[in-house]
Amino acid sequence: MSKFLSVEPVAILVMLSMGVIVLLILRPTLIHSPGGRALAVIALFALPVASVRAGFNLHYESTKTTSFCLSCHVMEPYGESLMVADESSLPAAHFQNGRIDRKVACFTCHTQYTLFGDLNAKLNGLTHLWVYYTGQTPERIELYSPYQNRECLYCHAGARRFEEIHVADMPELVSNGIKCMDCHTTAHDVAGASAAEKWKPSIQELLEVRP
Amino acid sequence: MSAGAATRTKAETRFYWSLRLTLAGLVVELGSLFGLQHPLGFMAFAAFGCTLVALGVVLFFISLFAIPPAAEAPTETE
Repeated sequence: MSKFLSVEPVAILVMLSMGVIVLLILRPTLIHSPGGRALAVIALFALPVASVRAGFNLHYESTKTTSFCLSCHVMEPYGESLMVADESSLPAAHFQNGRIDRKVACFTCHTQYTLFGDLNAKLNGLTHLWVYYTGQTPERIELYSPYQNRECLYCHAGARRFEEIHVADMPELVSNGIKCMDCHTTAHDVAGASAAEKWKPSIQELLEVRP
Repeated sequence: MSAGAATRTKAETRFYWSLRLTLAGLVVELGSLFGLQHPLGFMAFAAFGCTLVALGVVLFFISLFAIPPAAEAPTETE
């Protein structure tokens, strides 16, 4: 993940693009030569397109990070619920025990593992931005649709311990006949998260310092 | 106003505008990289940075292909 979030190469590419454009602004006569026209194509097509593409990738990947999700105030209780000292809490158990990549914890469980799942998640994210900045955030935040076993099975299916325990239920789990959440009931306990006992390290430490 | 600006063709005027628009878009993109972990950084990049760069690139291609150089006459001063 981190290899996608290296800002420096993108910043250098953008500054290089800007440098060539500034050169053409300061020395406009350059474009009258064949080499100058080639430079114009590089300055006004190749480099800007490459810069925007690289910038888009960087921004796109950064929108998957836990820090990005928790940068909205309404998500703070959900961030706190990742740190509660309660083994029965699914998000806390996954986050604290490193069962998911902490840097992309929210996205890992809340994307849909389908062809357009990531795209849908991002389009929903744009809706969230609109709702947040126009002050229409609902009192109670709910999922768009009931949580699908598919999202759990994306990681758990095939894991030895999981299959040994759930072998009898696998057909029904795969078909959503029974829901994972029917038994593992504690998702984000946002109401009790702030008062609950927490794991000692701060969430910032976990996201920024520890691997 | 410079003497050069007085004799610019339409294509050249478009070319210089494309330079400015693209530069502005890249400045926005560079700024948005500092707000990478914030939704507004992404919005600034998507809504302004990408749009300005796209306009700049489109204007550049228009300046290249829209008007045959031989048919052009100098435009009014800026």
